[in-house]
Amino acid sequence: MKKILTLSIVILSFFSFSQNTGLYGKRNYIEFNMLGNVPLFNYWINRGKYERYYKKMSSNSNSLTNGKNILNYGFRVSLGHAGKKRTGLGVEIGYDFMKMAGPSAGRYNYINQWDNSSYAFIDVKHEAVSVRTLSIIPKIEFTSKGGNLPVGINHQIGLGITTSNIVEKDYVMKVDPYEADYYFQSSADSSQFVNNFIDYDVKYGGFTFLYNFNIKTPISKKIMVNYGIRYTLHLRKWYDDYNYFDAPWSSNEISSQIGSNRITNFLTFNFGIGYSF
Amino acid sequence: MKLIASLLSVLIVSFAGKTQKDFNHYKTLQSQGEIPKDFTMLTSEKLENDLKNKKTELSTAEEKIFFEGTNYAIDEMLHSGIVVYGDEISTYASDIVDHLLKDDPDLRNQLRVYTIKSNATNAFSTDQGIIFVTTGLIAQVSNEAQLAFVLAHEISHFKKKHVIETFDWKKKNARYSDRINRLSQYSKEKEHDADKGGIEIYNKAGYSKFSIFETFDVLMYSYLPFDEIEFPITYFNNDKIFVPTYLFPKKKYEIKAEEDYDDSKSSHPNIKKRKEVVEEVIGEYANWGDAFFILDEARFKHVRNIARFENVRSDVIEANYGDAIYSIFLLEREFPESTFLKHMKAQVWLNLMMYKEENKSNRTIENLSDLEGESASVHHLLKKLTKDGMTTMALRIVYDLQKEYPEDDEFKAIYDKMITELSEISSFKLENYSKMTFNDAAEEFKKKAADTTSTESNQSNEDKGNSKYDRIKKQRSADNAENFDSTKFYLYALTDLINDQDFIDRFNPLKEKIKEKEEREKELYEMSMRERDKIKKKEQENAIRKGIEEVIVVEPKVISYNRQGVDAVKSEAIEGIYTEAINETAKDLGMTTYGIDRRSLSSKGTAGFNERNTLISFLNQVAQDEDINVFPVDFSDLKEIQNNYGTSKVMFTLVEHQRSVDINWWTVGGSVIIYPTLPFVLAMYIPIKIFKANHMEMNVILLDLNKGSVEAGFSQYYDEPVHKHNLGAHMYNVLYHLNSKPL
Repeated sequence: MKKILTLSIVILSFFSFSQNTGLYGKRNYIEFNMLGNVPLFNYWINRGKYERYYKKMSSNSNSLTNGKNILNYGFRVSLGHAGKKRTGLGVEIGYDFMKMAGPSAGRYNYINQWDNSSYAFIDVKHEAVSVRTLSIIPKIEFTSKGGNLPVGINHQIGLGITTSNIVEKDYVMKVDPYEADYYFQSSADSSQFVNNFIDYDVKYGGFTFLYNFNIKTPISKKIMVNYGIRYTLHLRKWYDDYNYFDAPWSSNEISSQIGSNRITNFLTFNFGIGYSF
Repeated sequence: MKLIASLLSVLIVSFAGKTQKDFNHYKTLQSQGEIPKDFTMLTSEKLENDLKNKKTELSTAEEKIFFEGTNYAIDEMLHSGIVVYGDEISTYASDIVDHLLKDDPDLRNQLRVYTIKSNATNAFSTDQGIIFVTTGLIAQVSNEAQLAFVLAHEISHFKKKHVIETFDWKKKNARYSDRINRLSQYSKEKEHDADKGGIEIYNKAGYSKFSIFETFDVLMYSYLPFDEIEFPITYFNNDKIFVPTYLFPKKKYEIKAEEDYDDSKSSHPNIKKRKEVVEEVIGEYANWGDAFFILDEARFKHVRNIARFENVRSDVIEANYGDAIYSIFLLEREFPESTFLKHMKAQVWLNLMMYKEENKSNRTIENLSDLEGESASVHHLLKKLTKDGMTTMALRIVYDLQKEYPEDDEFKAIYDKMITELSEISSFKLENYSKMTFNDAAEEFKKKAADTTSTESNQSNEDKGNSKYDRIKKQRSADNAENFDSTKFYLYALTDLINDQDFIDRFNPLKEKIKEKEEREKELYEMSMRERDKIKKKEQENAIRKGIEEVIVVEPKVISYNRQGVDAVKSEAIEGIYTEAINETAKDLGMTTYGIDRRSLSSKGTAGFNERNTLISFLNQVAQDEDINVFPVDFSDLKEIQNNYGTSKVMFTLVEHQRSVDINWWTVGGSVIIYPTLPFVLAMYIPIKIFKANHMEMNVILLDLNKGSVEAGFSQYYDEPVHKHNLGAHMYNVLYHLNSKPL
C-alpha cells in the first residue's frame, strides 16, 4: 500500500492550494508568548563587564556578591493574519526584562572648607540594574513550500521600535573599601553615600530587527502551542549628553550598555499559546 | 453402491456444469465466510499477545524487535489488497494441509492458509502460522501432489521455526563483512532442511514421489506462462482485419532456463542441487504412495482455472499486456464464451493503445532480447506494431466486442473510453482509412500491377478533368490500389466502422472539443504573461475544486520510522488519530466520509474487506503510470461499491513521519576551523536543526470510480510533529478545496 501510494503520488503532478484555509478555516490569531534567554554569549563576550556585575547575596541582604546574569525574560502579545497560504502580517507588543551591570563609579557630593560644596567620583560596587524594554514590532510571516499559516513552521521578520528604561528600585551600592577609607575614614560610613544619579525617567530608544523561527502546533481546533527561537539585532539611539563630570553614568553610556546587552542577548527562546479565530 | 456412484456422477456433472457457468461469467476471487482474526487484530494487539506468551529463546528486547518486525510485515501483506481468505483456492489448499497433517492435529490447528493474487510462483509460511500461496503457483502446477509438496515444504519451515532461527542467525552474524554470502549459504541449508521435512510429511500423506521432481520443474519454468502452446499468427484475422505475418517472429524464441544456475547469492539452492538432495532423501523412505490426486481431480482443475483467470487479471493490473493476451488466448481454448476474458481483452487493447500513444509501451511490452517461449510471439507483435497499427487493432477489437455484447455495461464503458481517447489522438483520422478490406486492396493492387500498359492509358484518361489537388488526394488515398502497402495493413481494417453513423456522431463532437481546446491554448499563448498566469492559476485552482460532498476514505495509512525502521505500534496509534482527524475535519466541512479501514473490519466483516481489496487493486492499477488513466480492471465491482455508498470518489492517504536531527557535522567542523562563523553555527544552525527534527510527508490521492481516473493528487512535506490537529489542519486544507465548487 505504501509503495503504491508513494508511487502514485510521486508520479502525479501536484496541485498547489494557493488559497489559505488556515487552522480549520481560521486565519487570524492572537498569541501570548513568554521569552527566555540564558545570556551565555553575553557572559562570554562581556566578561569584562561581568567583573562588575553584582547581585545581592540574598533578597533581603544588603551585601553584594560578584555574579552572573542567569536569565532574561519577557513576554509578547501578537496579533496576526494569514492573508495567503504562505504569507501573513502581524504585530507584536511586549516587554523584555534584563539585568545589566550597574555603574562603576558614583558621584559623592560633599562640603569642603574652601568652597563649601564639592564632589568627587568614587569607585563603587553597584547592584546590577533591571532594564525594562517595551517593543512594538510589525512583522511579516512566511513559510516554506507547503506551509499553511498560521500553523506549522513559520518565519517572521520584523523591524520595530523599542524604548528601555532602568527600573526604579533601591539598588544596593557599596563604596570600595579603599575609597571609603579615604572619603569617609571608615567603610562603615559608606552608607552616607546616596544613590541619586540614575535618572529613571530617561527612555532609551532604539530599533530592533527581528527574525523569529516558530513552530505552531495546534492542540485543538482553535488553540496552538507556539515555540521557537528569536534572533534580534538592536540598533540604539545615540545620546549627546556625554558629560562625565555631571554624571559618571551618562545616558549615552547607559544606552550603549543596553544596546550592547541586547545585541549579545540576541538568541531568545519563546514559548506560548495562541488562539485562532 | 450404484446409488452412491450415480450420486457422485451427478455431483461431478453439476460441479463441472457450475464450473463452466462460473468461468463464462467469471468475477474476481473474493474472500468468503467469517473474517479471520489475522485480519481484524491490530499489529499492536498481536505484538502484545506474542510478548505475553513468550515462545522463543530470544531476549525480551530481541523478541520485541522480532515480533514487531514480523507482525508488521505480515499485516502489511494481509492488508495489501491482494490477499484473500475462505475462497476456493484457500479452502482447497487448506484441505490439502488437512490431509498432510491428518496425524498431527496440534500442528494443523496452528496453521491458516490464505491466497495471494500474484503471478509470482511462490508460497511461504510465517512464524505466526500463516501459509500464503500465490495464484501464480496454483496456475502453474499440474496436479494436486505438486501443490501438496510445496505446502509440506512450507509446513516444515514453520515446524522447524526457520523464520526465527534466521532472525537470530542474522543478529549473530551481522558483524561479518561477507554476511550476504553467509546468509545465502545459511538460507540454502534451511531450504534443504525444509525439503527434507516436507518429504516426510508428504510421504506420510501417500502422494507419489514423482511429483516432487515435477514440482522443481514447475519452479524452474515458472517465469513462463502457465502453458506453452503455439500462438497462431492468424489469431487476430477475420473478415475485417488482416494482420501481416511479418509482424510475428520468423523463428521461435528459445527457452533458456537451466537447472544448474549460479545460486551463490540466492536464498534458495538451484534446482539441480535441490533435486540431488531430494533424490537422496526419497531413497530413505521405503514406502511410497502413488497418488497424484487425493482430493477430487475436477476440483483441482477448477481451482487451477480460477488461478489462471486471476493471472490474467493480475497481468492487466500490472500492465503486463503481452502476457495477458497470451493467457487469454490459452484460456479461450477452453472457455471461448467467457465474457471475463473478453472484458480483459478489450481492456488490454484499450490500455495498450494509450501506452503506445504516450510513447510508454516499452514499460508494458518486453524487450525482444528478453523474450522466451511461445508467448514471445505476442510480445514480438506488440513491439513491431506502429502507433497507428496499435490504435487500429485496439479499436477493431473493442468495436467488435461491443457490437457482440451491445447490452454489456462494461463493453459500453470501454467503448466510450476508447472513443474519448481516440479523439485525443491527432493522427487518428477516419478519412485516412480505406473502404476496401486488406484482401480486396491486395487483389486490386495485383490486378493493376499485372496490366501496367492499360494502367498508364487509363490513368491518363481518368485524370482528365481532375485538378492538381484531386490528383494529389487520389495518389495519397488508401482507396487507390496503387498505394497499397502491406505494412499499412491497418488502413484496411475499419471498413465498416468508418461508415458507422453512431460512431461518427460520437467521435466528431469530441474531436471538435479537442480542436476548441487547442485553439484556446493558442489564444492563451498570444496573451501577455500576466493574463496567461491569471487564467492558468484559476484553472489550476479549479482543477482541485471538485464540489465533493461524499467520499470513501480507504485506510488512512501512517508510517512512523524510528532508528530500527518502522515503529509499527506508533504508526498504528497515529493511524487511529489520523482517521479521527479526517472524519472530524470532513464533518466540519459538511462532508460525509465512509471509512473502509482495518479498524472497521470487525464490524464490516468480509464484505468490507472485499470492497477494500477492490479499491486497493484499483489504486495499484492506477499507480502503474501517472499519465495513463487505464480502464479499471474490476469495473463491475467498483460500480457496485459506487452504488453501495452513493459516491464515486475514493480517497487514499499516506503520512510518513520520522524524527531525526539532521545536523551536518562537516558544517560544524568547518565552522570550528573558520571560527568567526562558529557563533552562527551554534546559535542558529544547530538550534534550528533541532527544532526542525520532525519530518512529515502527507500524500492524498483522489480517484473517481466512475471515470476510472485520478481526480486530484496532493503531496506535501512538513517539518512538523504528527499530532491530531496538525494532521487535521492540513487535511482541512485538502478537503476544503475538494469540497469547494469551481470558481
